[in-house]
Amino acid sequence: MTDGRFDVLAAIDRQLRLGTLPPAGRLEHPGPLPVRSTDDSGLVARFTRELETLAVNVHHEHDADAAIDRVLTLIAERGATRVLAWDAQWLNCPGLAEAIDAQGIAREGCWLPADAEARRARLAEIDAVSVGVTGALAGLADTGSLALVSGPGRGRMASLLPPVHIAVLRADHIVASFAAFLTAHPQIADEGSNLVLITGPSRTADIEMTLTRGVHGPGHVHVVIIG
Amino acid sequence: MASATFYTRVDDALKNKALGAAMDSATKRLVAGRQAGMAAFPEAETVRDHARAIRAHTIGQLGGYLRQFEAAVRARGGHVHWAQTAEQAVAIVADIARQHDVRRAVKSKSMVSEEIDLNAALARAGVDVLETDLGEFVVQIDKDHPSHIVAPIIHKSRHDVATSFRALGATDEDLVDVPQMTAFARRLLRAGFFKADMGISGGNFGVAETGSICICTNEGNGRLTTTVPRVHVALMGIERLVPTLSDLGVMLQLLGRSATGQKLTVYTNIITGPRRSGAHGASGGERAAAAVATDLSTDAASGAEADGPEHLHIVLVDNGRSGLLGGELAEILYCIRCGACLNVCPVYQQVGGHAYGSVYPGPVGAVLTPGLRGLSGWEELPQASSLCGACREVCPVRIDIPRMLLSLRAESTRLALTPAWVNSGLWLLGRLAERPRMFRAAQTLAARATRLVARNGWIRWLPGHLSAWTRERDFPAFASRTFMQRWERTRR
Repeated sequence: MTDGRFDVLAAIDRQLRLGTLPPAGRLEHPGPLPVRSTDDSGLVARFTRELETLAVNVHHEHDADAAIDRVLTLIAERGATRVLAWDAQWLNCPGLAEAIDAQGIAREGCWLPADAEARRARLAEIDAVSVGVTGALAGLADTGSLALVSGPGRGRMASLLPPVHIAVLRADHIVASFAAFLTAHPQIADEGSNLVLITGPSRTADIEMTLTRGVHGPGHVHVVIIG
Repeated sequence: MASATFYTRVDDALKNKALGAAMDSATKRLVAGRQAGMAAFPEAETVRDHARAIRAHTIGQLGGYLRQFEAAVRARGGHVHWAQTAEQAVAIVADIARQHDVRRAVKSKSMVSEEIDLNAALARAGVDVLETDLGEFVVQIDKDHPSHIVAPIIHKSRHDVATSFRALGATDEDLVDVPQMTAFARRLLRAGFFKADMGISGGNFGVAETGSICICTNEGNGRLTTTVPRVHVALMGIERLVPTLSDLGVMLQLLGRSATGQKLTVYTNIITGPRRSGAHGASGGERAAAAVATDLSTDAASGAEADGPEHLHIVLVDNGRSGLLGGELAEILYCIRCGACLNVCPVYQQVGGHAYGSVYPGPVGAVLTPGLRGLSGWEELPQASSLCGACREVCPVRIDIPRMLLSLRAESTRLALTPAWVNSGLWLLGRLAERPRMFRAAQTLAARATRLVARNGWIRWLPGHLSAWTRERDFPAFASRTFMQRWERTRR
């Protein structure tokens, strides 16, 4: 395969050396954007307000037991007998996985085989699952976003394939902004190959600018906040 | 597309009443969305200055940042390819498809893929490509072209879309309303995702520090494309880099707000390498990639990531961009493709995206297209502007588009791309303007001549090239006394 690496880099370096606009090497990086001094006391309220604006269903629960009840109710409302879920340790809620099992609801993991045929078979198997259950690494208050990072036992598909996504989040994991999130997780790129910021349900306005939810991803998002 | 038909395309667009209504309502909504988003963003001006400085800095050091990006991607087990031309880019992607035995691919929205005409090239290589962005899917069924960089079927009505879906087997029930139509598309496309061996995406940004790429979508097709198939290929212009994740955060504050008024797009998907295997997941680099490819156990306890692509290929596309560096048009490389300049442009609002005849329409396209492809054949595009400056006003990184439109106009005069009759007319005017007595005589002559052919002070028809004016509007007869004559009189 012909690769243009040498030619492209040579052309870039030549043009920047010859040119005056913008001058190579003279435009300094502006540094980090000054962080607004934010009052962290109202984070949960701000996060909640943003989520509600985005048509996300927010549930505040005092402890894990209440959160478990809430998640089971949401699964039951959907009549789901199977859920696509993260492993127990990542759900931010001790006892949740066991409680789901005790209801006779099958917890499917997100494991995808590398082999093409096996992969297709697995996808066909989990396509009909109507509820995804995940934890979340953080909530971003200023945009109403959930930060989810991929990893072993934490598949991307649980927040993507089913029409309903339930995310369990600890209140003390809510931060002001993406900038604050990066400060709290400086090595985030090492933690997993996929960091996704989810800001509301899947939507499109391609047809006559008519807002429609749930085009490819979940049309319904529930955030269960503990604490 | 030949520029000789530019005016024909504009004429067609202006005569198309349905298109006019669709453009009017869509651009109004998008403009209002942006305004509301920006109004609720008190730091907007500071963030815009900052974002501009980041873009300027990055473009000024592009070679260094590209090398850093490449090394970081490789350290995470991804592959980087460099394409100097569109031909090279499509050959690289076709080669990746062959190498991984790919017959079917799914694609999320990528303007670069339109620029290099990827789908046609892959079809020749025996690979079926399915567009998965709802709008691009409709464009693909209709064998049409997108008319807006973030809202591809801004020019179509729901009835147009219903007709297209009916051809794919949609029932009356599937077509009763937009949500049902969307559900129909979801079902079809979901099956397509599951069959695909390769996912092709664009890249809104690349992060030099970490080797990450960021893909912003609202529908979620960008996530499916980069999660479900075994192979992920991301196409990016060489200029799409930012130095750090924190710089990416600055850009993200502006992209959604400028495009639709959203604080963030629904899915801001940041990808750093392919799916990681357990043992070397965090830092194994090429070893990790090899392990993922050959030795995946089906046991999640192995420590490997649950899902995601086994292979990641990032194709960096130059295709004329490096030629803009260091020149008058370098600033257009700061663009983050939000589409705000399209929505506010009075010309775009009237004629829509197709009239431009280029992949990138609107003000940004009127600079970028002649910049990348050369002025010859595209010399009308920089003229398709009233230079009102609305594009510069809304640009999140404050690109001075009118300045570059003027510089392109000057260039087309230098290259003698301006029609000869315009040039000789301007030459004649120049000669007259230097000679006051001749100028006055010409004024008197013109005043008399125009009043001879005018009715009620207006001329309905002019001969030859001048008919271009009277085809669209009347021309006023010259006043009987010139401004200088009247000025002399008032002073007395």
